[in-house]
Amino acid sequence: MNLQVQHDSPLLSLSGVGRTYAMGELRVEVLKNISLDVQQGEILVMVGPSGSGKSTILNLIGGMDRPSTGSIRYRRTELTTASDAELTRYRREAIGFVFQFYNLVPTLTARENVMASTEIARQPLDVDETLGRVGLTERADHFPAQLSGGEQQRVSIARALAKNPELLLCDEPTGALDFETGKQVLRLLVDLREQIGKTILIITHNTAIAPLADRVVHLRSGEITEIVANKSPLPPEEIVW
Amino acid sequence: MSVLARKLRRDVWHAKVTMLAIAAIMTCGVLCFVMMRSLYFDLSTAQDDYYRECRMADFWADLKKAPLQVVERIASIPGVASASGRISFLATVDLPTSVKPLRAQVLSLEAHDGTRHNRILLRRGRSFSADGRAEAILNDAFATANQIEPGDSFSLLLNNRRQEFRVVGTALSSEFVYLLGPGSLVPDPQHFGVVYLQRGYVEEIFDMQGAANSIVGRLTPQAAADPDPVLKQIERVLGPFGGQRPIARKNQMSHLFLDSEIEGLGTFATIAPAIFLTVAALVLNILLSRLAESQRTTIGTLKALGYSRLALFRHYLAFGLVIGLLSGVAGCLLGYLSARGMCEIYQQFFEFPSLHTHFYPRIYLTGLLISSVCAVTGSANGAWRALRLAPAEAMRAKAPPVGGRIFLERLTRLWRTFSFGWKMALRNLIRNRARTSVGIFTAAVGASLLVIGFVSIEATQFLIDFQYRQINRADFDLTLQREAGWEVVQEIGQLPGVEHAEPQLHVSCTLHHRGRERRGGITGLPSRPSMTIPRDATGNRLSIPPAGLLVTSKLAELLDVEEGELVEIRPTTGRRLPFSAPVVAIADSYLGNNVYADIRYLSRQIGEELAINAVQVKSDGSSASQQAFYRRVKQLPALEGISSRQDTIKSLQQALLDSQQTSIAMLIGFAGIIFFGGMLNVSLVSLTERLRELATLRVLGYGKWRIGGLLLRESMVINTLGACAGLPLGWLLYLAMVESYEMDFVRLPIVAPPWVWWSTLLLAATFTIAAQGVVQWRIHRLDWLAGLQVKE
Repeated sequence: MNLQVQHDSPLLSLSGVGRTYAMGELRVEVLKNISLDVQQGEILVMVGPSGSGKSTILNLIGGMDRPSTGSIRYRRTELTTASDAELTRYRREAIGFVFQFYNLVPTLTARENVMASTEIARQPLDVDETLGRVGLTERADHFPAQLSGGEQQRVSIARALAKNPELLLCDEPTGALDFETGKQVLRLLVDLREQIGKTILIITHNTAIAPLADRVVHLRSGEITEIVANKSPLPPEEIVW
Repeated sequence: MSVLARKLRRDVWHAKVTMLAIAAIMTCGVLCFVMMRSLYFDLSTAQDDYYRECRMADFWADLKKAPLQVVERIASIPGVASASGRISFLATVDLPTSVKPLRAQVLSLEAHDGTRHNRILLRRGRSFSADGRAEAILNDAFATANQIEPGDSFSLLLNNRRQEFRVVGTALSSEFVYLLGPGSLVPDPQHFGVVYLQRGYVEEIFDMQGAANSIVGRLTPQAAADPDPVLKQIERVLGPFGGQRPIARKNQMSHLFLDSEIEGLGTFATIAPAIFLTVAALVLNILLSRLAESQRTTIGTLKALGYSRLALFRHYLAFGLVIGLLSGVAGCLLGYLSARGMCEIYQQFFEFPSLHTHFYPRIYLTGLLISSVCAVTGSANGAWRALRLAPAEAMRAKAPPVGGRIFLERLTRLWRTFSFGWKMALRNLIRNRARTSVGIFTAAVGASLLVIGFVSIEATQFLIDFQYRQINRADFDLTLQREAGWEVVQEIGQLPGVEHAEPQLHVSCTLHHRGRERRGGITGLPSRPSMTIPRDATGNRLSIPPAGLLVTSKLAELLDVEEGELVEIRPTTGRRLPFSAPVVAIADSYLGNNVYADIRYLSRQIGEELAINAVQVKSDGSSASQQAFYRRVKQLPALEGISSRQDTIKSLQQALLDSQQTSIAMLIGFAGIIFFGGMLNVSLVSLTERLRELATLRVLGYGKWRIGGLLLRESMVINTLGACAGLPLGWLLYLAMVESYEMDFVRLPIVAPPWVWWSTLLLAATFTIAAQGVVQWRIHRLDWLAGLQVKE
């Protein structure tokens, strides 16, 4: 599996992706014929109401689930046919996840949560530097229960970032945060793109976040209804919800 | 330390109460394994060394009297490696410090340490001097129990003569590791010992110059493996000299008891740990399944970060491994200490030159290995269940369980009678079938251990009561050196404090039926005995038939004989005229293979009109007359020995019940740990799993005790079902134990009075309530708000 950076093609390419779940005798089609390219270094926001298939796309892109139909390529690598071990390697080296509810390991400190990433990564960033980048140097030895929601989300971002992945996948990163803290987290994400060129994919039901994206993908009932390119993205500080 | 290792350390600490409970159960398993296995090797090694050092014989042959040339003939039989003759008698010992006459086996020893078989090992004092007259060496336990030191004097009633002896030393011999007096079940060093005298002197006293009445010897290794053909040849040679079928080592009393103990240790070193480790593995499986379930999101996140399934699987297995290693180390340590303690107890029964527990690295490593394997096995299923989920699925909270109706709800009328709390508890129990089953199994195992312990106590008490209060009701049993007439009963009846004296005739013999043969003896009783009363299996008195035999059930089984069938009797003493007698009824006995007959009938069979060689005595029980009785008995020239029923009961109670108390205490402790550990885990897992549901009830106004009550209902249902299942399980295990420990001459009674069952259920409930105490403590400390904030 070749996960090396190659700049002559989209970072990620979804082609005719569908996902159907069987629930007893019932078959639920959650995603239908999704085709999308994600370019290196862009911020892509996917918006849609609950049940529109956002999380399913994120899970498929993140190598945590497999499509029922279609193909997903990361660089030149086909993820659809990758083995479990190859998907594990893909998640380990190419992807950084930021979760809505942070998903920190409660029995590990902030620093240790970040180390959980760096220990298995091939070229990780320095843990303390990464924590410093998200402004948590002082709180590095605290357990998740001793941190605020915003701080926990920043640990979650640091954990995703510290692996030095190409693509950050953010699932409702501001969903559990208050307005001000949410904006701080968005600023952090934008900085990561601007300072170190990470590609960032955000899924959210909050359409107010859309103006900071380079492109906005609208989803409804498992289908892409519209892709809008944003010629002049707004800085997070100007976003209001 | 890696991040996962840190997580493991903290998770272990977080789950310390439940893990300790499981570790305690597992520790019991390893403890049993290490203790029993160590004792197995300790006893086996001590036995081998001791036998080698003493040149332990392979066969023992008793005869009336034979010239020593016969010993050479025996030694020349193919298969016999060596043989030696000695003189052996039972005698009465009169100690200046003891008012009671004691009994001893007198054995001749060759001068200058020339004994070839069953040599003695001196413990105190010295061997015989060149002259050796009037010098005696006593077996060490007898000397110690009666506070006799080298240099002290005592008298022996030998061949109608009172002889004064000086103790020159005390010694041990491998043929008396477990020294039993005639008809005893346990060693009683206070009242029975061995007196070694120099051969030349014994020959003189017993008129046995150049002769022997006991031949012992070694067999070649091939013959020792199958001694019967050689022993038959020896019997043929000794026949003209009043010889009986020699006893092979495997049937020698001391060896038999020691070997049976060693064999029992070997067997239970497998069974006992297997029980504990199975319970521990099942409970661990419940805990790990719950732990992995509660860490679904963490597992999903770690997978999303790129951790492989194998790495996470190993991480959760390590959980079990920690418990396994912890229990292994604790079990090895406690097992070693218990083995040391048990060695001291064994020394009260088995007389070894040295018996102490050794350090066995292989046993400890095996102990560690089996606890680790058991723990990993118990964890594997739980760990695997969560890990097989796809990461996306693992990160979603588990869907709430399907609510559906349980089968009990179809019984509408019954269901309506349950309160809300009971309905909740019953639904929860039935929906979590695996956990409920493990709980019931755990309780059943705990209860069965209690049943085994309680039934054992009851059985021992029943045995003592049946043998020494129901069957044998004489205060004293006097045996005579040779047969006498009715006048001896009258003479003994005149002794101080004697209310009633009854004659007996013991005829040693072999019994034959359908090609089967058993060594034994027939006891002749008066037609209406009041001292020895044969009884049937239900305890009813059996009358003595004027002709024919009453055979005890075990012997009847060994001979395959039934009522009405004829048994061939070949007496091994006296004129040895064989005769046939019908079995009139089957009697019950737990001790010895007794056969009873009318004393006149038996006398006629051996060619006498009335022969008496034992007298049973009922005394008035007063202390003063007892002292006078003992003083007069010591003067009786015809006396071979005397045993007191009270002393026998006391020594049995001391030996059996007192040592049983230790093992019963251990059994109750083990059962408590199983109950406590099992119930605690089931309840705490249930509490964790239903935290949100219970937190909601708190918000609705339920108090902490009421919440605890909901969990207690579940525990009590599990406990009651399990304990009830444990009653028959324990009973079956006890029956298996009786079967495995049964010997030809002793068997354990099968009795179960109601207290056994009630005590088991009561203790089971107590242990469960104790476990509930910890659960309630946890409920009081719970952060209920956090419980409500569980993410979906």
